[in-house]
Amino acid sequence: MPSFMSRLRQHRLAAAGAVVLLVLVAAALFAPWLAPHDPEEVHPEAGLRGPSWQYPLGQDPLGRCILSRILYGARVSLSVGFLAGVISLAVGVVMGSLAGYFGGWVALVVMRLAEVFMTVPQFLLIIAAVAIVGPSFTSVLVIIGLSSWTGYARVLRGEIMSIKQQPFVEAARAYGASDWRILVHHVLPNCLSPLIVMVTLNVASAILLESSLSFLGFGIQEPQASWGSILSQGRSFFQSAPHVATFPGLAIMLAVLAFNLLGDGLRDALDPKLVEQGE
Amino acid sequence: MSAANQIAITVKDLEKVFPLRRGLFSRSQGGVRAVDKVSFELKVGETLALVGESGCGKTTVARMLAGLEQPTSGSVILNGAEVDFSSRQAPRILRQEAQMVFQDPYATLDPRMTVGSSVEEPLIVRHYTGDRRERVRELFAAVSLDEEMINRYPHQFSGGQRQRIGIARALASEPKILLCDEPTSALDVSVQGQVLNLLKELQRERSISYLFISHNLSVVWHISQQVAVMYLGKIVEMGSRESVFLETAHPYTKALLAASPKVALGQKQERIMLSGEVPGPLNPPSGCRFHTRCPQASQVCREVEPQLSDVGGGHQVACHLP
Amino acid sequence: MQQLLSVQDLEVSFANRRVLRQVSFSLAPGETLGIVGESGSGKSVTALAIMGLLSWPGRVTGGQILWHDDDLLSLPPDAHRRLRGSAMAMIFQEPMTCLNPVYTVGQQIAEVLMLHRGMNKREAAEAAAAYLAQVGIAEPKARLRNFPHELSGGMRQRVMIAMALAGEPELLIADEPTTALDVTVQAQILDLLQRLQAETGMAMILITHDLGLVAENAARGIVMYAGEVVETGGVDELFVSPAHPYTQGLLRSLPRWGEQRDVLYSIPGTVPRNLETIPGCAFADRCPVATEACQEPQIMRQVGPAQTARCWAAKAKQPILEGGAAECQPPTK
Repeated sequence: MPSFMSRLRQHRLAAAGAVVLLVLVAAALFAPWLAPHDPEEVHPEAGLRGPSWQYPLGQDPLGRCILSRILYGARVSLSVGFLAGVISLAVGVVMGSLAGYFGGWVALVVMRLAEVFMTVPQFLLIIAAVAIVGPSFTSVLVIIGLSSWTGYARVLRGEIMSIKQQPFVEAARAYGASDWRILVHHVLPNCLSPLIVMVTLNVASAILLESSLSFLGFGIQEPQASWGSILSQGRSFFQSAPHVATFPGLAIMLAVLAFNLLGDGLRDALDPKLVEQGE
Repeated sequence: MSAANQIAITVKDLEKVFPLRRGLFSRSQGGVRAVDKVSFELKVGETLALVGESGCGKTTVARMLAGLEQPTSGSVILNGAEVDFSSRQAPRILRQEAQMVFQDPYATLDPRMTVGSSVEEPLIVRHYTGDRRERVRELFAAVSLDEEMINRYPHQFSGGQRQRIGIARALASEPKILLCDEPTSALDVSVQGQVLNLLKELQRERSISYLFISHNLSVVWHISQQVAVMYLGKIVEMGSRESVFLETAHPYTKALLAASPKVALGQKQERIMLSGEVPGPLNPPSGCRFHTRCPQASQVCREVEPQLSDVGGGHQVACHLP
Repeated sequence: MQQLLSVQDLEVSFANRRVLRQVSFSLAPGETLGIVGESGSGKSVTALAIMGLLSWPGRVTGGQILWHDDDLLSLPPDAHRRLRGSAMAMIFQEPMTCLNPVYTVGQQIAEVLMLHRGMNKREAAEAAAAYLAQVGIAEPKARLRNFPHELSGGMRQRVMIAMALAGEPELLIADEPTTALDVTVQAQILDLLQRLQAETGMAMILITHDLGLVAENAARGIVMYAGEVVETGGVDELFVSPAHPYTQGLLRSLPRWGEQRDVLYSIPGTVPRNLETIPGCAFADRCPVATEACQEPQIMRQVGPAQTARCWAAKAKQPILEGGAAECQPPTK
């Protein structure tokens, strides 16, 4: 187990990803101290000014400081990403466990449900749901979370089905462990590796989804900033004032890239074939 | 010891049929008779070996006694009382007295738990009232493993050691019977002695009975007192180790013994070559199940199924030939 | 007589770790050699090296493999590949995974025939049926159309043997060919292999952990431990009066019929994992007669007319089992 941490540290790209992530999280946490201006302070006469000493990343159409908005936007985007990731993980694990462990008609129901979710284009589903419920931080977060559980469920079900056949699970049944105990104590811990990797990739995807929603105006509403909404405002002015769209776009890209790299590193670090025996 | 000659478990006409399903909603059409009316007695402190090739049902018998499969019919008498398989308590009662030791030492322990926790599990599940840590230490000592190994992970041990841990775990609930399913088959030759010696010692000390499944006849000879040979779900020969090995009566047993490779001086053993392979259990041959491969099959063998009959001193054979 | 195959001081490494050291043996045409070893002995790696099947990170880092006088290791890869499947063939333990599940049995045998013997499809199909018959499969023409999963384990192994035969090999390497099979089927397969050897004159290397198999089916044997050859000899000498302490330990730990033994011998300790850290004899830390001298690399010594052992303490002893030679006999009444 400890060797996994050292292997992770050795994976250069993953380490880079982790560092970038830490920087972004720190930026989000310490936004009130780091932001040079109030993100909602408007200066309409100074709209679309490029980067300057006072406004390091320039100003948006309403003259608000882009750097400050990006810092505060990090809070929104990252927290939606994380929380939505947690929700989809929770739902996915429950569904996957039920399907994998009990099989039979339970698995049938769960898998068909998953297929329904997967056939409908996820983004359209999210937009429709948000449109019905009304956009807000909570609704966006919950809806993204609930729409992304299928990957976990399918992977987990496969893992459980194969672990179930292992002799140590039979042995547990033989000494009288209950189904619940076997599932929680023996089966799930052995399915962790692929799940951990999926979580990082899933969070990246949640961030992208939220940004896309906000970009289209269905997500976080003004005056709250989210990277996607800042990007959206810069869309019309891309020729004259590219900085408005570019910087939030970079922020999104960095966050997604960081999560993906971290996920790659985790997958390699957890690969049992690379584990040396006799540690 | 007064325990000698007492019966640990009696099995009568035990049967297991695995139903065949066609499609999701149709009735099952016939089934695979994995175990077909098997009867035997296991005495306290003795070892009965179940010998046979693939499809003979020996593993299924063990799994039924471990509570992992439910018999289709037949009776099992444990502690003087018959186990009622229709009750949901049946598996628990069996598991109290009979524990299983599995074949593959590399997969028999949860790779994510320390070996100490694996051995402790049965105690937790059974709400053991004593000091669990202490008991785990006792069990490790009983299988000759150092106390300091308790907190290590399975991948840090060799195959032989893992098998010993598996035995420690099986002993945790103080069963009267250990069902050993090929416990040494996955181990190197130079190491299997450790496990076999341990099993013998434990049997002597604790009067545990073993149902020992193995395809390795030398190992069977070494460890068992009674031997039962199975073919396609039925017992074809059963008796003391000496009578089955040295006064072999059934043609299948003779072929098995002849086919087992031995390190022997001088000339090769007389081969008894069987033709073909074990038929699939779906449509067992008529009459004597072995007749399709038996070098001495005759008309009656094709038509009438032979029953087990005593040929002297408790040695039973199911064969029409004299 | 010219040797068919002569392996000299073969060394194989995985990444930078040696897994085979100083492996030397030779094989005459038509001879059956048994390679005996437990897990980690390097017996399969040896076979793969001979066949040129070692894949990264394994590679040969020393020695020679002479086939009829040509060093296989200095041949261009193409030339070595042409020998594979024709003059040298190999069969493995798990026929289910070694046969392609999406092609019929007939197609797979035909592939060998078309590749190595230049036949066209029709000729190959007829020849394939003939080979199936030669390996004892009933109704060979019908079986050509079966897929591997439709056949039993023993039949699949026979198919593999047929594929090997189709190349008209001079050498057949069988790596644990019967471990996954029932004992009675195992006997049939070994019997078949012996018959085929008599018919075609091919030599065979039988790799197994089962000492009894080698005793009954081979003329000579070599014993491997932790990547080294520790003893060689005719099977009679090897198993009745072994000279190397490891071989002796192995034989002592076998349970035997007809004997009443309370306690079985087992060799203490485990196989070392890293050869690089061991300067001398790899068996020293488990050996009952080890001394300081064992820290030095050991050479193979002649201990009998056709028996060698890699141990300073080796000398062909009297049968080492308690009670003497009679113990080895199958029990008589």
